[in-house]
Amino acid sequence: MKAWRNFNVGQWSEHINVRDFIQSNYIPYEGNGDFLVGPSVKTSQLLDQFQALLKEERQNKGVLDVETSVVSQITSYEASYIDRDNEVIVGLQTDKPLKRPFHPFGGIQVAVKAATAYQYTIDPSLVDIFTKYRKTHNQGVFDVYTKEMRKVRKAGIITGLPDGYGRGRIIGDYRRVPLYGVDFLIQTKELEKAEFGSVMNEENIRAREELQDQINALEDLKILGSLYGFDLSRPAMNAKEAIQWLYFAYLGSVKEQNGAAMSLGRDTLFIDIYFERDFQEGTLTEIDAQELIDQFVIKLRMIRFARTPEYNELFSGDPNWITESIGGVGLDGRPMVTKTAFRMLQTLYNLGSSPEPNITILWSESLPKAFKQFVAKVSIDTSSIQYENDNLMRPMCGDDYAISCCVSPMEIGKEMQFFGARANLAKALLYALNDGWDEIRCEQLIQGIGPIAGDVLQYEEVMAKFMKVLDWLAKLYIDMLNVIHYMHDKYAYERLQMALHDYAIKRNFATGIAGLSVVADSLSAIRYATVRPIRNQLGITEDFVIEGDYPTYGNNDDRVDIMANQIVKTFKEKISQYETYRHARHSLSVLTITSNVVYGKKTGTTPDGRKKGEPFAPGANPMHGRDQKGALASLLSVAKIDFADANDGISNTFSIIPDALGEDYADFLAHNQSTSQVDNLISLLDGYFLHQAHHLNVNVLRPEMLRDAMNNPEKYPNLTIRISGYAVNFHQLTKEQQEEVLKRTFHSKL
Amino acid sequence: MMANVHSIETFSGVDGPGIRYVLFLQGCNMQCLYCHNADAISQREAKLMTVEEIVEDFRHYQNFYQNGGGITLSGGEPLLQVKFIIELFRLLKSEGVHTCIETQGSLFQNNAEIEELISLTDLFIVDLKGSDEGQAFSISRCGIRRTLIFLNYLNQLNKKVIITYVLLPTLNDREKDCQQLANILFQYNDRNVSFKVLPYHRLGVHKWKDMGIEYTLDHIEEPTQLAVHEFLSKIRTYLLKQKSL
Repeated sequence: MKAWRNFNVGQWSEHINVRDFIQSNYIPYEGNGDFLVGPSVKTSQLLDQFQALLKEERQNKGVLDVETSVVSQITSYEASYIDRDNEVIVGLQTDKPLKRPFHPFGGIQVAVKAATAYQYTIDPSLVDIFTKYRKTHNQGVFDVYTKEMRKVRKAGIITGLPDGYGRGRIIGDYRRVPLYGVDFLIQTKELEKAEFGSVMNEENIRAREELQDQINALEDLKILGSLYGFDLSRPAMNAKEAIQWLYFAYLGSVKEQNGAAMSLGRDTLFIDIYFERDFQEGTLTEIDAQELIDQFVIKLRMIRFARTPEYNELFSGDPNWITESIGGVGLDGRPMVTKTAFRMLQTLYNLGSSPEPNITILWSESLPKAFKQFVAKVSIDTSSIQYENDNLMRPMCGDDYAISCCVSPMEIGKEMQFFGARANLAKALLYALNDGWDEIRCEQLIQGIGPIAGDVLQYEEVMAKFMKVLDWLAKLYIDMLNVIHYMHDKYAYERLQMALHDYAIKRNFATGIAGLSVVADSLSAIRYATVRPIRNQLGITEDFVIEGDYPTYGNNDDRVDIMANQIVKTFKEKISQYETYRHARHSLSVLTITSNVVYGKKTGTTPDGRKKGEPFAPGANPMHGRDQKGALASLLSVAKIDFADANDGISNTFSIIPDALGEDYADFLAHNQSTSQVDNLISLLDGYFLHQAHHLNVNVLRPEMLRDAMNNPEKYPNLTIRISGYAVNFHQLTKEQQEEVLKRTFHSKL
Repeated sequence: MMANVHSIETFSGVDGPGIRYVLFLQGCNMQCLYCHNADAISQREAKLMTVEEIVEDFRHYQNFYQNGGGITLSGGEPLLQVKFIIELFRLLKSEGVHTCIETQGSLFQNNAEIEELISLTDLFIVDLKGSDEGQAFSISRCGIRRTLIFLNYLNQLNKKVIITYVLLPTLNDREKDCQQLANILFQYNDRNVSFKVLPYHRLGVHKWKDMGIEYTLDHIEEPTQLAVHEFLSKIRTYLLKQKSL
């Protein structure tokens, strides 16, 4: 086939196998970034217009425009452009750049609310249709929820659930579109569908319906291409087409779905193979290659969804988690680094730093040194990069996995997950102390826990009650998620994204926890110090008197770190007892995104001394300021959480002051050029991941700068910081969240 | 053998090459106006730790120090506890750990003990308290005469040395300081001895206030990056002049 000229053939040329295509064709690159070029003339001109649009959006309270009369579908809009002459990669979500689409299938009420929040009114006839004639996911869920489920949702012991918005976290294998062309994908889906033809039982009926939905979505994708003058039915002929096809596959998905996280995958090796072929054929220069990557990234940075203020509180900063995974090592030991990995990182210089795409480095100590140095430099310069331990994930997911959202590894095209937000374990501990009463709402949510009588909290007694609460919580949590994902499949099925998977896939049941460090420190206080509860007239604990010292999580002290480890292990065991929808495999993450602030707001004073309403630490981080023994002790405490228990990811956000990381000075006597910050960051990552840690967000920032940015946002329009598995523009955080970020431990030396 | 320990920092990027484990020892024979570890000056008994305890703690973090990092002894003035350091370094050196001492060098004595210490130490970071005896005395209540003898000694042994100089605007940034520093630096082999200007900072001031001791540098501003560069380039000019003579 002409589209596959000069590629090494293999299994991939017989049936869909993108991994095999990559492994048979990519060329590892061990050199440095000296070959990189700046933005092209076209890119610079386009970037100017993009930045003007961003400015306008900022001035307009963060929303430039909202669709009110067109339901977002793959083929909803005619072709539209920002600046046709300068765009080398084309395609917009709606008819205007940065205009937010209308996605009613997750829930009409939520979609209306999102528009209303920005003074837009959804066309009443559409509201009518999605209320009276077409049921949505949200309605399906609430039709089934029990009274108890509604109560716990309100109480905030389980929150952030995708019961009113798109669940997301699904990564289509967007590379299949350029490699095979849509017609071949449809043929494959037809064959899969035929396999379910013999008996019409419930399972087969569903399979046939889903597969036909997928085929229809692929047909729509071809129409999307043709609107812009491209024939997606066939494979891409060159690198430019490959990136354009890939982008259309992604664009079709975001047109159809407003999932909470719409991650991209692992594309730089794939694209590099096309670049290298074009270079050899003499049809592409380095400037062209960088231009294509830069412009692809500009398009990714333009993705927008309409979201409610409540949603923004949970997941602040308007994130879409367009996560792109870069690096890692192959099963054959070759580093999966190409020149295009460098080109992707270079966008942070060419276009300025930005939260999207969410650049994630799959770290291994055996990555090429020059690549590590380049990554570390970009990280220090932009604070826009997160790191995840490839050595830990590769044995579980192979070498063609990508990170979804913040920290969730999944084998591309072969694995999906049912996103489950998180349970608030700090609140669960308070239920154990309060006979099942919610400390804020003052109502009893669980029966039979029994009151705690004495004046001093006894560790054994508290633990026994806490375990009972966790049993109750785990069951309820799984049940709620079962309802949610049943309804999501029924009313808001991701047709296109699932069309870019094999039909027989692994499904993960992605539960999560919040408040880990609060619980660990509370249990430590109860065990090692004397904790006296102060109760109100109703007998509900309102405060605690803590006497004596106790070890806190974040200081590499096994006495409490083992408690943190055991909390995670125990909760994983508890959720694993319950049957999941579609027999999904139980998984667990320790990740809060920015919801640690909201969870804290909804949680009373805890026995670790944290006051009512104060934020939790994010993810698996130690509590703010309690990690007193320095950066490494803090990191090693987190590293003790076992990835085997939380294989949906363990998020740790690390902020360090540049001067503490190292010094960059030219020594004029010894003629040494020191790059100690870069080298020290590499040592830090190598060391952390050698301890079997999973994830690290790295911010190299001065808190004074953040303080200044709070007061003078206009001075820092592009200030990007890593939060909890993703990056945000600092100015897009609420004041409360900005304060919370500033409270976090900035590791310095003195 | 016990050490009198002020504190431990497991992650330092600024006390020698790479990521370093820094052991701050309690007690100092000087009292520098700008000291950022004022609570480490007193030679009272702080936290006593054995060599074994320190080595055990070091090992927890060893993965982070392997790539060009190591251990640094700082203070206070570490040379007040030479016997302890020798014992510690003997152990760590036998495992190939990179060792470094931050000192002001005023306690140098030419004896067998110091000789062994020097042989066990890969890098000395020597803080020069002034560009001449009088100025050093006003800043640290101690001169630099012995420090210079120590530097000469290290230079003859071809030891790796970084000389540091804390730049205090209006106090020690005169033209004369540049000239005198160039004269000092000129004597050393620049393949082994390098020089670094550390901008004065106020991050440790709270310790003085916490201890209820008067801090006398409140009127001194932190120098700008430009000022540091200008100071350095003046020294460089004097140094080049010396070399061309």
